[in-house]
Amino acid sequence: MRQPSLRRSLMAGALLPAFVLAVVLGAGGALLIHNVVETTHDRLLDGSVLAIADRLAVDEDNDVTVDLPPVALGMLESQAQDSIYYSVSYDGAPVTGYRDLPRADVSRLEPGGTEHWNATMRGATVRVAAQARRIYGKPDPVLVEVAETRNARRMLEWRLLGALAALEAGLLGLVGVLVWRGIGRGLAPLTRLSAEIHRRVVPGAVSLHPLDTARVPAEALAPVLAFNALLERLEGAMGAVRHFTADASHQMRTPLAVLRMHLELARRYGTAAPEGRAALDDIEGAARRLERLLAQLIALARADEGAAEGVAADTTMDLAEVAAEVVAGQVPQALARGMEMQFERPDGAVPILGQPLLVGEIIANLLDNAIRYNRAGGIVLVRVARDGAGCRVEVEDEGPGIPPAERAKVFERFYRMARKDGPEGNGLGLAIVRALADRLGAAITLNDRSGRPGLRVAVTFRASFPDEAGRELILQ
Amino acid sequence: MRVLVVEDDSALARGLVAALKLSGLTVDHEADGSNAARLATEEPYSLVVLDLGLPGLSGFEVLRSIRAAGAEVPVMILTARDAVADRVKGLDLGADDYLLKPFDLAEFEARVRALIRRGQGSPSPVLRCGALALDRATGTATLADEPLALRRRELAVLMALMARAGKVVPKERLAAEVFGFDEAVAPNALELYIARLRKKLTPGGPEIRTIRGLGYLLETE
Repeated sequence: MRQPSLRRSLMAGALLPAFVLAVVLGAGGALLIHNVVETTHDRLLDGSVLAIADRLAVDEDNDVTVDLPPVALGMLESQAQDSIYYSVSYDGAPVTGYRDLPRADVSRLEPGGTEHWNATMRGATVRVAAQARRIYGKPDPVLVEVAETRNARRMLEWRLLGALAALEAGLLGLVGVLVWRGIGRGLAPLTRLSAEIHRRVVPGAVSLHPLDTARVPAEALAPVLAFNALLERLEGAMGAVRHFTADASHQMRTPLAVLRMHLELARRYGTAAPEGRAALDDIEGAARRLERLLAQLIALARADEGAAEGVAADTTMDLAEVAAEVVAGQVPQALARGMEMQFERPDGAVPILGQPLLVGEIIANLLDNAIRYNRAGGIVLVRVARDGAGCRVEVEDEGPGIPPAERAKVFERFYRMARKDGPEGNGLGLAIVRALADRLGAAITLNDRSGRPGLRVAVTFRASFPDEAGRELILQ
Repeated sequence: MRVLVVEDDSALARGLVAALKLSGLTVDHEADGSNAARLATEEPYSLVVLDLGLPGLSGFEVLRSIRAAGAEVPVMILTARDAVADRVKGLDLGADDYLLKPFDLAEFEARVRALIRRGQGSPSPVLRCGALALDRATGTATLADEPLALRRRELAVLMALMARAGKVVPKERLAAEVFGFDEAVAPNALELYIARLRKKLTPGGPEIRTIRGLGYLLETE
């Protein structure tokens, strides 16, 4: 398919009407030319007819005679070599001239006036002028006719028509050139814009600063503004990626420093010494931290990637079942830290719209946080609820909680609350939960545990009540 | 020589403390920024090792408040941020050195030694006092070119006295430089170390004199 061209469509839009106008003008002009030529030449014919008619007389025998003056037909001579015929007749009988010139019906001619018509004579079209003239002494009018072939008229008409056509063609050409150059001038800002955009792409870097709109014509402003908005969003997104990369690498440096430091210490002390063994413990801890950071970064990247591709098809699933599975999986981790794990769920299924894997990952991250930040020997409670407030899962711990002022910030990537002697973390757990929840259209709220210290995180999913599959899940 | 380590990451802090102790230094560890800023101005540290990424009061703010209080203690910044702007900001705020994580332990130790030397007004690693010489890079002392066997504390006391040889070093300051917060110190511990040093320095070495009511003075000949 050919690329639509602004220049082509503008040219067509301007030239097509101009062409139609030229054709209409040409047709009108041709008609006018024909009439003018016909009228002037008819006048000449009339002159000849009059000259002849004025010389009509009646002789002694009471016959019609004509003393034909040479000028009478001479005025009709032209370069066109037209053949000229005349005829004078009375009462249907020729008096003088060409007998084969078609004769008009005298009775129908207005006396004194001249009539014109086309006729055929000797194989050629001729123009005939006729007058019925009364002369003294004769009861009926005498018919005087003069005819000429049409060569002169045709030549004159063609010459005038040719001039008209040349004039119009010249005009059309001029319009075309002017429109073409006008469009070129009009489109110049677009060329400038694309040149500016090209200049932005220098090897190794792309400038995402908005385009200067000062010299952009009003008609092109809307797309340029939209483009600038896109640039701005792109710059924001690239900034976020840069920030994220910097944060991620920054986050890896500390455990790497721990690794190198304690490796050297272990080498110096030897692994037999208690200091050496302590260093080995810290090496293991740092390796675990790096592992966890990597896993979290991958989880976050996956959640982002999914968000970019749009929400995948959600299915009706049982929140209680997925939660029970995840909680069971994390019980050993809690027990290892001397914590108690509790699980509450309503009878029957809790049908929500979601994806089991993602919902499971949300709960696992919340549980991981709860265990990590819980007080030693505390309880971690997971509650699945289905009531007026919606279908949700709540995770409670007995840790220090999150003060209200910090609650918006803890979802930011790599944000770590200022906490003395807090456990090591990457500040990614809640960011992952937020990204996944956004993908599932779920809402997260952070609250104090009612009346006692500790944090309660609630994630409310989209319920799936009206759905047939949801009813089936409840009935099971 | 007392060093303050300001680091919120407990594993890294354990490593730093262990490494500095291996170098014969007395080490205090503080994870909280505002406490660290107060300690660094109140206690006679020979060096502050400061992590920038602290929760609460940031490392930059700690550094600013140390310098605002007029403390001239050398400060080494440890950071995970490699942006040039951060480095420039740290040095402009009065940091003396800048180390990017992860780092080599030997390099860290060398920089610590260099900073401590510079803080004591003598960039040369070897301090001399008569026939006594002390190499701060290796932590070894010689008397008339014979190696002198010194315990860690004895070395610390001697180093503090030699750095201000010929001047009275107040007893409290000497104790504060030699002992950290978390060490159980007997009331007469300092006297004990002084007595042991005196024994090891005779004959031929400079004399450590007790100035009653003031402190100690290492004589220069």
